[in-house]
This record gives sequence, structure tokens and C-alpha cells, in this order.
Amino acid sequence: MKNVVITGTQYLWGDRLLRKLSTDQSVQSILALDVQKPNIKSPRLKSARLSYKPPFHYEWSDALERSKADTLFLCPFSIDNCYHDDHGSLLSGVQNSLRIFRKALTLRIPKIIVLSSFLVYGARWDNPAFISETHLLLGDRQYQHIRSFIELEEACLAAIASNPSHSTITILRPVNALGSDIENSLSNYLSLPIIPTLLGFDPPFQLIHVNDVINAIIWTARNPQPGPFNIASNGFLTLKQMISLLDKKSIPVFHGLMNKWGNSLWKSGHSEFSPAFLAMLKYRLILDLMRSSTILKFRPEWNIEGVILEFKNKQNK
Amino acid sequence: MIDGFGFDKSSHDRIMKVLDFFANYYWRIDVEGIENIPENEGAMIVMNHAGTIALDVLMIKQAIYRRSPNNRIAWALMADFLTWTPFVGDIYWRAGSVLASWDNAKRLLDDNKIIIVCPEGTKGVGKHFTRRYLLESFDRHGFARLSIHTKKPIIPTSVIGSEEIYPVVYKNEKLGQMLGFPFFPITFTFPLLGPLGALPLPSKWIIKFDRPVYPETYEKKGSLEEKALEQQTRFVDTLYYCDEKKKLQNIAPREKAIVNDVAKIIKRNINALLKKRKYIFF
Repeated sequence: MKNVVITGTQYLWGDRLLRKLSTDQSVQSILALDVQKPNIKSPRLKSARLSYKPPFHYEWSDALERSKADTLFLCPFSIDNCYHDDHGSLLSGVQNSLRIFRKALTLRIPKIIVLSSFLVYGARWDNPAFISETHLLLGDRQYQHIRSFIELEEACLAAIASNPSHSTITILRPVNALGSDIENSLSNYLSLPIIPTLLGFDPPFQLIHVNDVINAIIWTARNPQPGPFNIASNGFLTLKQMISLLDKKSIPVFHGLMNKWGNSLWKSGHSEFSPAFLAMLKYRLILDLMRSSTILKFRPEWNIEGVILEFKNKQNK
Repeated sequence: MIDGFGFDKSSHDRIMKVLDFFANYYWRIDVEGIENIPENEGAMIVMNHAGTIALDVLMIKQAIYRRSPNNRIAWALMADFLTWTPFVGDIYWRAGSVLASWDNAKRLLDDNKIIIVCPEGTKGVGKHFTRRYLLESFDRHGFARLSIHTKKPIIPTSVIGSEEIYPVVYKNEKLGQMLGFPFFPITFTFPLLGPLGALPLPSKWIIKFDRPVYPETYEKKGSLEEKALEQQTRFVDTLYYCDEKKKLQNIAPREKAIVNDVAKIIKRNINALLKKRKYIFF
């Protein structure tokens, strides 16, 4: 991992990865691709504007070609806290990601790491107890942010199936991330003073610490394995157990009411909790970590209780 | 703490204490053939299903947990509607149940767990009182296929007593679907006696676990190659006229043989147990 390319550096994962790798002396050069330049100054860092509109539409492509990269980190920006549908930007995001991915394949970049999300599976009543990587991508495609991931993954999975000899393509599917300074739908939900839950439902959850997601990406770059991998911390907690660990109170809401209100508030833009997120409060979405522990051999530093307690400490400060 | 299946040992033990009362004092369950439950290996309990709500499955769980030498936990495969039913689904998950699906069942069997399968499904629990102890069709061959696939034995299990706890005289499927259930039952006592009618009748129960049926003992039909050939045949059949019944008869003969044998054993044991039980309540 000497010459690396990171996309989505304006957003959560790309930005964090860039900061982490900029302190890593083993990395000789970093090329950041996004709509804006990153706020980090480093002699090893270069950036190129990511745009599909003329006259900049060749800038990223040329920069990628010149970089002689050995590792590409594809961090589509829609993975971070923008659970809200922003059709235009999400569409351009996935389009750009697909273009970069195809370009990387033609440039024969040896390692391509795609950061996806567990949202591609979707929280559904018919989910098996453990969802393995071979499970169908049944996330709700009516939401652009989920559809973007699925479209990107389908392209990546097709490329993996063709078994390219020159590139190792890895897809990482992390679960809900929490950390001391992360803001996403789950962190905002758990930050509510009184947490509404669905009456009669208490599904199990998996979590991962935000630092472990970054560690998983870097680990994968150093130990590449082809194919998709689920990423989560060890352990499971039910929603009520999480709320109890946070020393918070919950208020049970009738699920029919929550569905209707939640959907209409989401559609009118008054709520950041999408129906896809609300489904997680009702149905189980537990990932099978067998492949990540046996093939990828990634071990997260944090267990699920540690993740919650760290989040609690941040809340108390 | 829960595991990935949603199983919670403390909740399970609490539920077992409640079930102990029903097993020991209310339905006074006699259990035969508990020695057929493997000590450590995986197995599939295939049972007749009755009683409007799946209390028979819970009683099988209780019997295996309390009476097997290693206090084994049997995992029930639950109907899909339970996953979206508030409270009930949650209780079932925590007590050691999973949604009835190939993935879940295979995973549990591969982990050498005991699973409970009711091939009659909701047809069994919703049948009319006049059809008691008549097996509904085992038209889903999934359990036989799973047994062949995982090489785990099937334990044919017969339950009597569960048919009389809620004797269904009428069921309304439309009203049931509105409430999120497969049907809404009307029994001799419910809703006539109000909430009191929801109390199950204290019939006398007997459970019999028969000897395991091993898939290896059946002739070597249904191999992958043979299935591929069947698929091809079926494809050819779609091009030309083919008798549907004949086609069904040709599907996976090994699975069909297992299903027929298991159904026969269950039915034979039900008849024997009914003769043994003199009265419904004693």
C-alpha cells in the first residue's frame, strides 16, 4: 500500500481514512477524489476534482491514471449520515463511483476496496437469523441511498464473478457505526432524551465502532481477499438493552402509528429517520461474521458493549 | 444477554418454569421415547401440529429440555406471521425459536442443535374439531430434503391431547388476516365465555418420540446429479404435454419416501396413543 486513491474525502469515511493514512509513513502518495479539495495539508497528498460536467470531467480520470495507484478506496459518500434522499447528489455519487470503479479496472489497480453498507440487505420480516454475504441484496430500492449501494455492489459483484487476475476487489459491509464524534441516524436516535420504541418489538442489534470501520478498511488493503465481507463488532444487544446501558428511558409506540407517522414525517423532510431505519426497530438484521473472521481474519478492537459505553460517555460530556 | 438468534437463556428458563406448570399439573403430560433424543447430535423433530395456537411445540420444547439427559434445547421453526406479531414473536425468538426457513434450519442442524418442524403448518392448527387426529398433508418436502442435505436424523413425534385444548368449530380467515393472523378461530368456549374461553381445556396429553429415521438408510436417490437430470426433464416437460400428477410423482423419490414413512409412523403412533388414553381428560 504505497500509492493510494481515496474517494469521498468530503464525507465521513473518506475523510477519516484520509486523516488516518496521511499519518502513515508507509504510504508514499495519496490521491483524494471528491467535489472539493480536502482540508488536510500534506506533501504526499494530491487531489482532483470529481465531476462529470465539462470542463472537469477528465480531471479525475487523468489524475487517477497518473497516480500509478496500487490501492483504491471507494468510499461512496452516501454511506455517512445522509440517510435523507437527495436524489441528485446520490445519483451523481453512485455514477461517479461506478465510473471510478470501471476506470480502476481498466487501469488494473491491484487492490480495490469498496465500502458499502449493511443497508443493502434491508431489515425485513423474512430475514434469516444470520445474513451471510451470499444473501440477496433486498434492501428497499425505493430509497436512493440504498439503491445507490446496491447498484454499485452489483457492478462490483459482477466484476468479482469475472475473476479478474489483475485486481482483488473487496466489498465491506459494515453495520451501524457509533463513535465519540460520529453523527448518523442511529446516534441521533439514541441521543433523544426519551427514545421511542415499537410496542412489542425488541430486535437484536449489531454495532461497530467508527475506528474499527477504518481499521477494517486498512486491514483489507494490507490483507486483500476478494468478495464481500460483513463487518461488525462481537456481541449482540437488543434495542432495550442498548437503551438501558445508556441509562435512558424509552416510550413504546404502537407500530402502526410509528409506520404512518414516520413515513409521512420522513417524506415531508421533518424527520431524519427513514422508513428503512424504522424497519430496523421492528425486524432483525443480524449479519453473519463467519467470512470476515475466517477468511479476512479481521478482529475488531471494540465489542458491542464498549461501543455503547463509549457513546454514553460522549453523551455525558 | 442474547445470542445472534435472539435466544435469551434467562427468558427461556422463565418460560420453561411457566410451561412446567402446564406440563406437570394442567395437561399431566406423559412422555415416551425420550431416549430417542440424541445426547449431543443434531436432529429434527417432525410432529403433528394442532391446538389453534402452537402450544404443542412449546410442550415438546419443555419435554425435551426437562427430560433429556443433557437438558437439550429444541429450537422451534416458527410461522412467518409470528415475526410481525408484537410481543408473541419476541417471546418466541427469546425462547429459542427461529423463522421457518431453509437457512435457519440448516444452520441450527449444522451446529448440532435439535429443531422442531411441523410440516402441516397452519393447516394443522386450524383444522376443524371433527378432523382431529387426521393428519393434514405433508406436502412440503423441505424437512426430508433438509435431512438428506445435512445428514441428520428425523425423529417422528406424535402428540395427543393438543387437539382438544381449543376445539375449533369455525374459523374466519378474512377476520384473521385483518388482525395479522392466518385465521380467527371460534371454539366451543371462545368467544362464548369471553376471556375465560381463551383458557385451554385440561386434556390429557401423551407425547411419543419414535426411533430416528436416518436419511442414509433410504436408497441413494436424489443426488445432485439426479436432481439436475430432473430439472432438465421438467424443462423438457414444459415444452411438451405432461401430466402434472405424474410429474409430481417423479420429483425426488427419496424425499417422497422419507415423507411418507415419517407420516405413517406419526399416524400409527397417534392411533396407538389414542387407544392407550381412555378418556379425553384422564
